[in-house]
Amino acid sequence: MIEEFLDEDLILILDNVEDKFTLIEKMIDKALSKGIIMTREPILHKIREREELESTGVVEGIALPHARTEAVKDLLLMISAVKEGVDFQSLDEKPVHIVFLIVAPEEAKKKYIQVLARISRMCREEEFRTAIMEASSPEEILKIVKEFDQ
Amino acid sequence: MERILLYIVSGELRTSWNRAIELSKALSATLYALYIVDKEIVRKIARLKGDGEIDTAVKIEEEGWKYLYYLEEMAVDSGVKTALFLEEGNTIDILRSFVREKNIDLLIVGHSREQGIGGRKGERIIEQLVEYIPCPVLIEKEGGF
Repeated sequence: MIEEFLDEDLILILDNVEDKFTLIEKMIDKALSKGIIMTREPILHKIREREELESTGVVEGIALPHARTEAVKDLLLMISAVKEGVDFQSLDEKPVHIVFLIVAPEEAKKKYIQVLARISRMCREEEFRTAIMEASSPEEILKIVKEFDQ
Repeated sequence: MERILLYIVSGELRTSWNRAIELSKALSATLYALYIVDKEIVRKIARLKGDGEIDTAVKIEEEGWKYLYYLEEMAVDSGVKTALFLEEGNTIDILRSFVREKNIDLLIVGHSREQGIGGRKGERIIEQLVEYIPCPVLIEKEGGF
């Protein structure tokens, strides 16, 4: 289910990043440069709005920034692995190393919830988190996601 | 009142979801939502369906996350700050420790005869909640009474 929304162009591996909003901007800019989305600011605004209401940094070094907006035509799913971690104001106050960004149009609510639920479930598996963190290329991350996406 | 906990039993118990959102908004409280994958229930469902326990637990967990995210969408639409949690283990033990650790001020749980905490087991859980949970408990009656 997850793999239908992912490809290598939507996966970033970074050593470090200044803060969570810089990371989200980098992810959105990547999608924009690949022509997957057509606009930047409305999406960033919606995600910032959501992050200000509540941090989407969950626990165990994972964050799932997510929002619904008409600024996207289809569900957008991206992954970033940040080797040195980034502060997401997580509930456990630990730095986040893996970020799944999910943005969907309003009418794709059901699919959006399904994707969030699947990723949340996968992220509870330590083996999955470790494999992503140890991956050295987007290709490898994609392969890991496919393996656990069952 | 700063922290309200909604124990999510089923996606059908929406009266309790709405109550939790209304109260959190009115009191400017953070809404904590908790779904528990109860191992005893996993075993029973696996046995009934003839499936493996691991596969059953995975399905129940994913279903739990869906409920949590549906609730989050409703809460966000109302401008209520939420925090989602999914835990595995014995329902009462987890609720009791969760309430203590997170300093929960009020626990809200939906109850109906047909869904979620229903039947004899449900009656027992409700009794245990009232007896053992170290905070006020609001049991929201759902339809069907």
